[in-house]
Amino acid sequence: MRWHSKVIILVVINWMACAPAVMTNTALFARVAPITQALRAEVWTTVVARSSAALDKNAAQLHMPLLDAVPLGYYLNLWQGQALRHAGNAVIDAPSALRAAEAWLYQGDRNMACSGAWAELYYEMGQTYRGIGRLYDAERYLQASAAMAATLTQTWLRARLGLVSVDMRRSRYRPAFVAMTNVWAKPALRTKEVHYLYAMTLLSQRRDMDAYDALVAGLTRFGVAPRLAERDPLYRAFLDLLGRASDAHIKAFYAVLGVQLETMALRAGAEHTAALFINQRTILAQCYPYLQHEDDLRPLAERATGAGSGGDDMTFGGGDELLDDVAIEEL
Amino acid sequence: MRQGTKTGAGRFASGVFAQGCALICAGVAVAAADSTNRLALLEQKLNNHVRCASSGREDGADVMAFNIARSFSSAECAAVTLDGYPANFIVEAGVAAAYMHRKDWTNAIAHGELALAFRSGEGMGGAPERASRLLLDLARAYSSAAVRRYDKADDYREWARELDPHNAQIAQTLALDDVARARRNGREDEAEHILRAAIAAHGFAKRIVYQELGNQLWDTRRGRDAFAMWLAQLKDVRLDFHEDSKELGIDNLRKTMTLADEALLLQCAAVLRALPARYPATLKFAPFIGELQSIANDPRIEDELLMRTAAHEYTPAMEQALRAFMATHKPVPGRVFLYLGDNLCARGRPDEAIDMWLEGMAAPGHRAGDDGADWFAARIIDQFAKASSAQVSRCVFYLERQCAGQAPARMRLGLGEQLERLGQPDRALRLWCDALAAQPRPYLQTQNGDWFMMKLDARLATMTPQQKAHYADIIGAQIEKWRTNSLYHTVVPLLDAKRTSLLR
Repeated sequence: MRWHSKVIILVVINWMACAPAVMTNTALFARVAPITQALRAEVWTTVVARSSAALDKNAAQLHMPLLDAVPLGYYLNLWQGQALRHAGNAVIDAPSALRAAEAWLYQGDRNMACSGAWAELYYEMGQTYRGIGRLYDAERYLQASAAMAATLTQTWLRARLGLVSVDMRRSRYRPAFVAMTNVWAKPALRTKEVHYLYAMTLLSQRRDMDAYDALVAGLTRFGVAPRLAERDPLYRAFLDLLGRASDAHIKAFYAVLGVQLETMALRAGAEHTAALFINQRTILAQCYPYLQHEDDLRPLAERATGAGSGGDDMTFGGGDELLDDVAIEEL
Repeated sequence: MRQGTKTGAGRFASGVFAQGCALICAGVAVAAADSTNRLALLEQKLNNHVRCASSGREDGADVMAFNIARSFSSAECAAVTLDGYPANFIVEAGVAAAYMHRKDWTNAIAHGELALAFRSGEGMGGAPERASRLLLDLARAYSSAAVRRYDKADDYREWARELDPHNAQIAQTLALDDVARARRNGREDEAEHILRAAIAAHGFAKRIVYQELGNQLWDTRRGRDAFAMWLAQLKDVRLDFHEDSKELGIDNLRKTMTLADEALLLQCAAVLRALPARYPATLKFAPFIGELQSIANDPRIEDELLMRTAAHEYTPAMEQALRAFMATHKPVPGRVFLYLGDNLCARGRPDEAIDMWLEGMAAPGHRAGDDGADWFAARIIDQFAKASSAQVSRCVFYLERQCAGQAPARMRLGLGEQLERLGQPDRALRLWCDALAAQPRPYLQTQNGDWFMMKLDARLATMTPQQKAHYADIIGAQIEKWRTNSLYHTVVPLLDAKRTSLLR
């Protein structure tokens, strides 16, 4: 063997010894890929069905580590619990699934189980309990999650925001405001949820103009999620206390909806959101005379027609829903 | 075999033992967790039923809630905790809530106290809002009309305040309790102060706090302030996407619209107009958005605004607007004639203005105000110098025929003077005599006596004997009216002396 071959072999051995902390099991990953896809798309019923099926069919592999020595069983139960929280029995089934995930962490190699898994689990538990009104339990788990997660990471931030939400639910507005002010001070952390919660805490402190600044900033940066449409938190918050907004904020809101309407992808399933934006802008223009009412439907229809001749996924599904919803304009 | 090493069989045995222990521990843990979850589910159902029963949405929900709570009260879950509280606390608090709903205060107190006993046995941990809520319920039960143990209720309120000092909702509930107590003790000012402080405090003020303050202002005859408060409520409080205009308190605004000034009405119109935009424009909310739009377009607001503006804006455009209003609204409200007359008068057309006021006086629904003030009469008198004889005749006609007995004294005095000026002194004397006769009793506004009597006395020299006899007859009739009055012995000799002198 030549000397340079020896060097290469040594380098490879050295590289293997210093392998990155995140070790993944590629074969298992391929198996759970459909679940993670459904999870990303937030199709909760699918996640519940697929994770339950995976837990039943892969009993022999559940103890195998999927990521960072954390067993597959943990992830399946965690995802199942997360999905059940959104689309199932959040009082009984979701906590049970999360308890099962916790049991997997206890059974696994505790030295190897990274803190991220614990932080994630406790975050899910906290959110589940918050959803069903067990606020004290929620607070405890969210505090544990924030303590275990690495500072300034997404998990840490979500846990902190969860704690603020708990405070808001408990009508403890002052501590919530202080916590959100600290989070807001770090521009890198300003997610959509941060904008929403910061605005709500500002509103609770009667700082209406700052609150609407935050809401407008959030809407400008992130827009209204087409998937959520009228359930989008920023959108709902803006409408709920619209009486306290200034004319400038209302104009900005109107413009943001217009821009989003112009730039939204016209694919099947987007009719409802498009109709919502059009109707909301129409009603806003009716209610606030200083807003210039524009015909939003025509350019959108032109875009849809033009795109329809070009490609399949750029057309509206049927159009009936859009017309039905737009009928609100006649009110 | 060296110490510390194990054979294969030994390792297998210890492994089996360890796994067995782990399974048993896991089984126990799962059983406890299941009990907690079941408790949480039952509590959720219980709360739903109590909520339904409170809002009257479901018949017999309180009984169902009661049964659920009772069915759960078993020894198996004595050790289970939820939100830091033992199951027994949760169950007993639920039963107390069900009894509270039934207004069975005695049982509510019994179960509430029992729940508190379970809580104190577990120490001070747990969600403070649960204990605070129970304490507030107990305070309400203790201060009920059936129990009336206000000292105990106050103690529990203080305890709730200490337990959860940062909770804005509990602070507002406590404020409402304090208001009730202040009202009970007749301290309305203190109640108002508490409500204003609760509204100004941090947090989202409850709709009911605004409404309570609005009601109090309304009860103390501050209609404008009440209107302002109900308007502020609509503007400031979160909608929570309620779909009932009664819940939003719009009816109160409509009820008190006439008491608001122009600025408030403008604000009200803007707030109501913006209300539909505060709901997501979806099919779900479409019917309610339509209802809100019809409320915002209610012509009464526009009409009120027109009247408010007309009261001070004397322009040709306003004249046109008022005339258009008169053309479309039948019957025409009296104040339209009033403001249109003011408008014409201010623009140098008193003749037309008097016609307009006369028309207002002649309007079917017109009555002098409760205090005897008649704005038409006051304005016509002010402009009498510019009135034509035809107008004076019309005025007399209305007074003599339509407004007989109702026309204010000042109007009759001025009208008589005007008739004298126009060379009809007999008619003036008859008018004053009729006015004197129509009065319940001669007023004694001045040291010299009644205004009409003063007028008549000043003209005694020019009166015919028949007129004097008529005047004496009226005084005679007035003496009869005084008989039942406590001032009879003071007034009647004066009147009698006057009558005698007239008949002499």
